[in-house]
Amino acid sequence: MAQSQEAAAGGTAPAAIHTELLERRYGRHVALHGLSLVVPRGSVFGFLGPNGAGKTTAVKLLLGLVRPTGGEGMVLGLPLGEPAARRRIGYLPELFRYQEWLSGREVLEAHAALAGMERGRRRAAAEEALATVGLSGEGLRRVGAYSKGMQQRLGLAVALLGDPELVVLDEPTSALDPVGRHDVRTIIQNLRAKGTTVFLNSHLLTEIEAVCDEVAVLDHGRVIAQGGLGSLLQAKGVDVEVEGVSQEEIGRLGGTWSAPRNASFPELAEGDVPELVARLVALGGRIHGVTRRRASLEQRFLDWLEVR
Amino acid sequence: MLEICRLTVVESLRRRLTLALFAATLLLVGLTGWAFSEIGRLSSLQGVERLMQFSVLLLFLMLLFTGMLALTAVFTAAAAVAGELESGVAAAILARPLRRGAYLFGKWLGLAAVVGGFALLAGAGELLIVSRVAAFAPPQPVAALALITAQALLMMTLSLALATLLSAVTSAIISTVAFFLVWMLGTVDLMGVALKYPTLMTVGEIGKILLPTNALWQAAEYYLEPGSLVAAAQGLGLGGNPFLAIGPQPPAVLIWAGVWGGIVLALGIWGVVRRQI
Ligand SMILES: Nc1ncnc2c1ncn2[C@@H]1O[C@H](COP(=O)(O)OP(=O)(O)OP(=O)(O)O)[C@@H](O)[C@H]1O
Ligand SMILES: [Mg+2]
Repeated sequence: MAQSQEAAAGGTAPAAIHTELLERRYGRHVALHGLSLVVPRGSVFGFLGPNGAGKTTAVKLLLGLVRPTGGEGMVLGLPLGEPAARRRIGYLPELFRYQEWLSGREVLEAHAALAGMERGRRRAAAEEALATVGLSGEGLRRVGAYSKGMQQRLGLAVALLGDPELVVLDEPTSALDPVGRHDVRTIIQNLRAKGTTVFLNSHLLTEIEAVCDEVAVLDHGRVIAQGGLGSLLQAKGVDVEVEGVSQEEIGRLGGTWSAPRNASFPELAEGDVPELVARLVALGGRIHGVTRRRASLEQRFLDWLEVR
Repeated sequence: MLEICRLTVVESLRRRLTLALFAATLLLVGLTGWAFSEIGRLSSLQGVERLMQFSVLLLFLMLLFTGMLALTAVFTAAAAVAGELESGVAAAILARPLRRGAYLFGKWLGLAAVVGGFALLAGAGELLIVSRVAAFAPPQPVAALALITAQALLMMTLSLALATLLSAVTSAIISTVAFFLVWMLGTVDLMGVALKYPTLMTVGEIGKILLPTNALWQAAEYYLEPGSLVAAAQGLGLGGNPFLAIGPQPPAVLIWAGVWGGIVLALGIWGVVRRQI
């Protein structure tokens, strides 16, 4: 919606998030090292990294909760730390806690008030957010009586309240059961369908793999890989189930014989698959199956961390 | 800001703080009434001496009351601010389009309503029951109550400001120690005046400037004492003591107390702006 407004105004919409060499030090310790990032509007951006990589620090910088010690950035077209930008951002902190002496619905109504929503709309917005995260029946209970997973769902509801343009989630499923994780995936997919930008911090690779268009991988405060998921995961290699070709012939084609009937070609590029199959057939091979290898994000992640 | 103020008041209601304060008020007023009626019944003193006796008793009880108020103010404010900043509740709130100064000022307003309400209600209850039971009415109860309330608000402001950067326990303890230190310095000051010993007087003055709570208390004292008693004490050439103020505090003291509160609140806002959440 915001995009179409800006398009109508004749300007090109600025990226949802744009940072230049953003840096945060704690004493001599560098928590985040020159982060330069562009998150296009409407995308689901995954921010990956092992413990202590600086993901949470980056998110706190984006929200103005922590001030940068270097570099600069814009969020929704406004400089970091500008309160007006936060009007259009929903945020689930990593260590979420909500006023335990309020009911879930009251927490949401308070946040709606703080976000500047008119009084008349708050109740309905709170109910809608509760329904989205599957807490419909629990809105009147005290937050202090919620389980940890319910509190995280409430935190998600707070982040989704009032249809923000940018939703920042710092490990949204850390306390959730498998059903909850699945729900979060659905919620994020629905946000994408609505054109909302999502910035997702996680070290759960399956989560990122399932929903993100683009990822950045962070380690020790530095980005070590960045790009579309497709290109980052593009892997070399095929496994062929084949009979009637000798081990030497397989070896000459650059493959290894790994199991009965199973030849692998780890260095083979994607485009060379038809060629390989043709040659195997020409050698008299009977092919039962060809599987292209697609690296799992987990494998790639481990590779990246190792390479450094 | 008003939403933060509202939430702060709701918190004190839901956490039964207001209920506890209300119960404390009833207890305090009941005990005071009982003490005054017993002493009035048992004592055979007459005239100025009787007046003196009630006045000292009232000032003693009110002094204890201001101590209680200070502790209440200090711990309430420290818990409300540091608790929220440390637990992560504030992280979600401050990610909203709200300036940190407005956040802290909203907290201040809400806490001022709770602490000030308690000070006024319990203080008025004290003075009313005393005038009922012992027929002893302070000359300027409203001014005295206002000063006692102001003292509680200063303590609250100090603790709130400290709690933006320190933990709740640390802020509360520093504020409490400061309160009693300054009270001691105030007493030293009175001794300095009585003994005509300038060093002690200087120390007392410095105390007044650093934390003007005891100065406010001495100002309140004067408004609680019957004029005839003060005149009699002056006639006898008596100096002030912790239970007798022989004159009002200069207006500069009150002005400084107000300015001091403003400065400390501003420092608190600086603290919360600096704070990395
Ligand atoms: N307030 C702080 N004071 C000092 N160092 C800090 C502070 N906050 C973070 N750090 C340091 O900055 C680095 C990055 O921390 P951060 O919380 O951003 O990591 P993360 O990627 O979110 O890790 P995790 O996956 O464990 O949540 C860590 O080395 C941490 O020790
Ligand atoms: Mg983190």
